[in-house]
Amino acid sequence: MTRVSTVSRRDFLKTTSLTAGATLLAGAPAALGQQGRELNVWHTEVEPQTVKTIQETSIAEFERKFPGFKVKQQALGWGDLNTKLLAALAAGSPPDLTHLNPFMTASLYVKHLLRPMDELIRALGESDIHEATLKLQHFDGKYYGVTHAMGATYFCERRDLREKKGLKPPETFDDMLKLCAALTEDGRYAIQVPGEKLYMGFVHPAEWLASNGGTWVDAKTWRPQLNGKSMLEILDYLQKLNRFQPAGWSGQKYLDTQAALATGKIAMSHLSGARAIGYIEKYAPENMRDPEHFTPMLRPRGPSGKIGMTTLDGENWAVFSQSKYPNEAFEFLKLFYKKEHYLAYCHSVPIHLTPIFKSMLNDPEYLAHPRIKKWKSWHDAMLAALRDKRLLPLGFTRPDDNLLPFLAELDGSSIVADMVVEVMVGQKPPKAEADRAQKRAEELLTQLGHKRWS
Amino acid sequence: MFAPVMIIIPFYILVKQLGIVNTRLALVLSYTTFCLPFCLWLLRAFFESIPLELEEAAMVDGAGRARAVWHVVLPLALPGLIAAAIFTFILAYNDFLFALVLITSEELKTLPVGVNDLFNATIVDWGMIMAAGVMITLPAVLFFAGVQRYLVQGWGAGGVKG
Amino acid sequence: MRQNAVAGWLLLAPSLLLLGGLVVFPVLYNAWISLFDKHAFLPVQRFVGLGHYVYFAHDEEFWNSFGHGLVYAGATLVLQLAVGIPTALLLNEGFRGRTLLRGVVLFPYVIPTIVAVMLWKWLLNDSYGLVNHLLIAAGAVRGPVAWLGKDWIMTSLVITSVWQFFPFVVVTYLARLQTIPPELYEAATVDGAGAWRRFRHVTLPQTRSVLFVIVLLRSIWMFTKFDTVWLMAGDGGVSRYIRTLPVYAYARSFTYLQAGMGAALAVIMFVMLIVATAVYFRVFEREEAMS
Repeated sequence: MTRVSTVSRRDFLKTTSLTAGATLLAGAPAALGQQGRELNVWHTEVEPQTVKTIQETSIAEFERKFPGFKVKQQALGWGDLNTKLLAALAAGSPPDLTHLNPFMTASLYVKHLLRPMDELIRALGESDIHEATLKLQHFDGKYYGVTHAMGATYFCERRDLREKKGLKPPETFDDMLKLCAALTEDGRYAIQVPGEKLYMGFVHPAEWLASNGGTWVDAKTWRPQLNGKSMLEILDYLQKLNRFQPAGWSGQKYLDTQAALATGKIAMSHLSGARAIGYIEKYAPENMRDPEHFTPMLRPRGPSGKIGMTTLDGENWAVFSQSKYPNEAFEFLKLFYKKEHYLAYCHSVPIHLTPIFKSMLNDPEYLAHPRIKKWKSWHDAMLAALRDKRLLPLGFTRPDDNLLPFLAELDGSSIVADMVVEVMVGQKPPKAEADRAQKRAEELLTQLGHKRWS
Repeated sequence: MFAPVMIIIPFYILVKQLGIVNTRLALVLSYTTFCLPFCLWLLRAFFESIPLELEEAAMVDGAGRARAVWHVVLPLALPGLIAAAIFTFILAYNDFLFALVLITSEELKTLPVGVNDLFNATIVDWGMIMAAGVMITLPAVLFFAGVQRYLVQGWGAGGVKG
Repeated sequence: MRQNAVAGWLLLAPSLLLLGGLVVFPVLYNAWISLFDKHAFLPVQRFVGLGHYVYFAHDEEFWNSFGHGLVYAGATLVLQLAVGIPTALLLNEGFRGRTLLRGVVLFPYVIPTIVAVMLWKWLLNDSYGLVNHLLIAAGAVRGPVAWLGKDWIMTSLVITSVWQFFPFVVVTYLARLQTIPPELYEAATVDGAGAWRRFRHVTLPQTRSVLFVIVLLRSIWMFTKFDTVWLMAGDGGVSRYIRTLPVYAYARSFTYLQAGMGAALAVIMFVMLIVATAVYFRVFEREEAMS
């Protein structure tokens, strides 16, 4: 018996070591065999149908046009893309083509890491690209990026509930508080802010500042303005707003708020985009899955602001100066924006991916998609915001913020998020928290070498 | 003792220099490296507990050093090998960060990265995610079920010896 | 003997090569860039010497994170022992279904972290989680508890971590229990010792050294735990209340984009652990010498 078992143990060892060796060997050819040219494309549109569409349209045509080239697309959520990009840049081997967020493009431009793409922009039709996006990556007279598609963010409200109360969409922070007070009843809360730092600690604070005459930093000296009058008014508003939110909001995410809205646990989601439609169509009561019950609503303005500003969500394509195949990357982009391909791309998540070309915004072919037909009022809300210039790129407090080479770091530092969560959830005095945030922000900018004030 | 997140960037640079980004080899090397210290420590305790006389007896009987190790020492240390295998398996199987950063193609993605992708869809389908969770766990549990009696011996001996 | 030494080094060579190449380089690299104001991906680098270390000595965030780490590691350690040791004692008794139960107990340790955290966040979700549902049904609480909100997030994190890692304690302790010679217990029983005194006078002294190992390993591992903590709250609003040192170090490198400062934090943690380990070996050797 012992003998048998010894043999089997030996066999076990032999098999294991053989398998391990084989695995290692199998890996080796892949390591050596990097022949065949590969265009690496990273982007943030992770929906399976979007990935599939890109594969079947632009990539298919590109590979036909450039035999011997393979396009490798990688769709990643923004956080994951950021991590990978960081490692790749540190090692000096970024992808050939990638999505960037407008708030980090300036940092890369300043360090000469990006290639200009004026020729591409002219080929796409400079005058047809919407003004809201055209100049976002325009530095020193050249273009360094082009937005892949536009998406607006707004509140999504239960319009029926508001109208039952006889209230109008809020114009000011005060209106908003009144509306929230009226809608918090029967175990339902009025509103929920998403708990992710990117939103509650960066995107929304930027909107609040822009809607209340404030900015992140002084335009000239770049000194942070986190304990200025505008921010203090905002924090006061937030402290009051918190009463109308579910207690656990800071631990819940954007998609949780969409689910809560669709299932009637809240009356408004603070951040909504076209992705909310998917939740509504899946989880709302059957007789309510329509734009009459669920309507987008633009932002109110603060006491020191002129008009409520809202976020334009849209990463831009960028080509690195270290890109291995820059010309092919630009050729790929031409195919990406080719009308039939781009239309298919935008239709893969309707309204979330609104075309950047003015000629396409009212193009019957674009509007013919059944989703867009049904939720036309959502598309129209976006057009209205574009017309009234109420949109700013993600994390911007004013158009010129595209020149600030430290917004990614400010977002990443959690300084603003910590302040907001302490004031709202912790109900701490706004002034003290604002002063602490100001001190941390000044330290951060100093460490990063951007201190221009004295 | 270095949290893996802290060395991912230098590690990536290294892997890049070796020209093995986006290969299984890169992952194999990184997990091997991470598990080595613990495994060395554990296995040393096991080999120490095997009486030297056994090995010598085998050699007196005419076996060479290699044969003595293969036929006498290794079989006796098998529980330790299994424990080390389990520890390594769990670490490599569950890792997210290295797989995320070092791998760029769909075909080489590991399961934790795949599950993470499910969270990025428009509608987070909890049923699907939980199902994926069960599916991921199954192979690990089966592997574990098969070898757990060795594990109890293995870790204990290693632990006692410090 | 010389021949033996050569063979020994040859056998060690692959491991040393791997470790030297793949671990020592990153560690040295970290120590090196911790002396610079290095941006995470931009080519910016300015020598600051020990500037970062001085900065952290006065940094409120650093001490906050250090505090959270102590609370987290301390609470999870105590609870892992409190749950793990009795479980091991139970599993050491002979009864039907012991093997099955052992498999079940070990299950959480095998599950990928991402699945474990997901599961617990689902159970603890304030509006549709099972925990709140049961508590309300039992009349223990009036309204839903925000388990993932500010006041409870640390508790939730601790619960999740203990569930995930107590099996390690069970396995290690159980293995040692199995090697205690039965004669010791028989002798104690003959002397008229009850269950408690048998535990106190036989089990505890026998398992003291393994307990020592468990405490050390678990506290180091909990103190450097990143993924469970990170997956629990990401960098969202509540993360403020559970931010530990590894998370802070990660943030400095990957989100503040200050790779130099992140590296300095990594070095600080590394030194802390080296010191802790050195102290441990010292104490352990003394214990061994005494027994």
